[in-house]
Amino acid sequence: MKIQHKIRHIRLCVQLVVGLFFLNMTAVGAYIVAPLLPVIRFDYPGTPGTIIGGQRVCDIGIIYRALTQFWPLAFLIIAVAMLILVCIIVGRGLCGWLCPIGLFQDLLTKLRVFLRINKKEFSQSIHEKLVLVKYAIFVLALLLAASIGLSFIASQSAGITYKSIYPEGTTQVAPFCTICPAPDIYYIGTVINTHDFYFSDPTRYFALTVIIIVFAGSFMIPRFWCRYFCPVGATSSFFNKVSIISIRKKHADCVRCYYCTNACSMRIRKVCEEYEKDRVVDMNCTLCLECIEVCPENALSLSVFTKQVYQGWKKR
Amino acid sequence: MTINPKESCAQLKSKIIECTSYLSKKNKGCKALHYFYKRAREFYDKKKAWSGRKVIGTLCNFVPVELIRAAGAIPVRLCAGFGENIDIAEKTLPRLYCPLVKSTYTLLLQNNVLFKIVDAVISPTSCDCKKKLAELCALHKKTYVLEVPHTSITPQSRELWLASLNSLKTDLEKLTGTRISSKKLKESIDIYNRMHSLVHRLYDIRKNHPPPIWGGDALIVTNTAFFDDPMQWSNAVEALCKELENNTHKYVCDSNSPRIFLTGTPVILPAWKIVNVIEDAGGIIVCDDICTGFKPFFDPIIPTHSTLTDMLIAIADKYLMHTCACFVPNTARIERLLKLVENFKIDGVVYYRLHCCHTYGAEEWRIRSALKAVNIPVLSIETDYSEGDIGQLKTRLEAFIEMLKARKE
Repeated sequence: MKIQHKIRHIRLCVQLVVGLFFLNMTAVGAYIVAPLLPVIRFDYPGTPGTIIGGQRVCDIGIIYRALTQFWPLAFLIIAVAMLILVCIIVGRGLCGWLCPIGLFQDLLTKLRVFLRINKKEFSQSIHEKLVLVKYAIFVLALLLAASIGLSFIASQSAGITYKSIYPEGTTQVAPFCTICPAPDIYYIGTVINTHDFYFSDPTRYFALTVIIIVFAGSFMIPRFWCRYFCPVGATSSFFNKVSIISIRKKHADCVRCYYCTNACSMRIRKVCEEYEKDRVVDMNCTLCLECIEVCPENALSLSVFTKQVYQGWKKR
Repeated sequence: MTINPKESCAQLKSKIIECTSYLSKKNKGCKALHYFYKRAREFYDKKKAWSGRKVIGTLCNFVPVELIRAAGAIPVRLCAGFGENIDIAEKTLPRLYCPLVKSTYTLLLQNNVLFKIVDAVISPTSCDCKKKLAELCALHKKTYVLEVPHTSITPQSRELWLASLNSLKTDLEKLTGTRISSKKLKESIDIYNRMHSLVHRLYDIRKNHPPPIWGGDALIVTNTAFFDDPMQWSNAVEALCKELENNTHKYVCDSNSPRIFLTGTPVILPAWKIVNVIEDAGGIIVCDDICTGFKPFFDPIIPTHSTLTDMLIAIADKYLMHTCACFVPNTARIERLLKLVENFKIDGVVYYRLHCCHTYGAEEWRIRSALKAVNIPVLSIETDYSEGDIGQLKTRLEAFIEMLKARKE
């Protein structure tokens, strides 16, 4: 018996073609489609920019910019509404299928496997604690945005606006954005030459350290950034419980083989250890469907509402 | 009193020849099966292909043979089904003890060929009897004790099992002097996965009714896998499957013979008593979940990536999926048994258990009540390797099979 990793290849194609090329490098994707998907927008210097403020940021960035009145508040409402809408449909599926940072980590894992280097994992107890770090970052980023935003609202009467402090066209304005590795990973190669402030700004050194940690981490641990740190993943993970598209399990067929858990890049044990409910709910699931692919008994399936859509193929 | 090794070897050999010739007499012109009869007889003769390589004896299904082969050694199953001279072992072991372990220990004390050829023994801590055999074995041979957890589903037990596999890996590397690289391990996993898929193919053929192969013959096939060269064995099984698939009209029994499922303790060469009694009485064994039958071939190894850690995790998971009675809880066995009973259209189940096998004995009631719910009759047989009770067994099984035939009509 040999597993054909069909879904793995399809997913890689979607990540490359749709996530990286269409959404971020073409005008149609960048102007029309990407603004609808607040989860995966990042600044990319090569493109003309989106309708919102000439840059693409994640939902945390949008909240920050809206609160600091860099952007109008209406964008915040649109962005959050779109986020909720998309997440209600696919849960955290965008992380698995469209996010370029996810692609970057998957490629690093592929490189590691190609070099036959063993993965390193934290022990289970440390892993369970680290998973919560991203929620802490999420809350921290929100609090930071709110406090700075409120201070701006308070100082509005004095005639100070955000635009009067920061020059036009500034990209790294939100405090979290300056240390977040996502924008930097995204334009590796271009940033060093084009951004003069890169090495003059001391916070960039801190950011550089973060990038190196994320690089090394995601080389040794699959989806290191997504699992433990990504605040955008934290936002959308709340919707995994209610999303329309979900992974369901036939308990009669499950033989508790743990193949699904081994295949999971997010190290989710629940998919094997769920003994009661039909629906496999885990906050970390990115709907990459690796578990469905390896299930030897075809017990797992991708479902829309309760209807099974994809069940893997018969292995025996 | 003590019998010299040559004599004991001759006795064992004659017993195996007796067993295989009885099966070949019943065989209705299936040519591919003769390879397996020959293998079973030759096992005690020549070891040419093994020269220069370490031979490692295994005492249970829990020993990861993939690792042994990746280390460049040859795994050989040492469990014996030989009932003669068991009183030698009874000097040390209690009388009320597993006949399989007593038989294996007898061969060890006699320094039989089986134990002469092995350089080291790996004994997993699966059931109580085998645990203590490991202690006794260590007095005569280099023995590695492989710690098997008592449960298969808790995270702690999985970690323990993975750790014990890792330490076994280092031990094997030390013994053979070769490093287990990811490439070698991948090759060895592929070899064993091929064996798995072929056994599944053979069992799929037996889903037909009436099947073209006796249950005894199929068990010879799976038994020879424990000491044969995997490549040769796989090719032979492939040939057998092809021959059977082409000749599905060559039935070995009538269409009204009840389809029997054999469950419980292992049937090991040459202890073919129970199989012969069932199939002589008019039944046909079409499936089983015993240690020397379907069970070790049931689950394939699916590593997610071809790195060493991923493959070790996949191997660890495969062995924890054995539905061995030494696990608590072992509900997986009941679930799997019910599924197989449904898939193979079983008419009756024979619960074969060796004397003093407490774990399988204790599970009998649960299996029995689970099968009662789906209206499948169960006959429980408790016996050992001696031939004294063969007449009584015949009477009981004939009655059982008559009853099944009557139910069928």
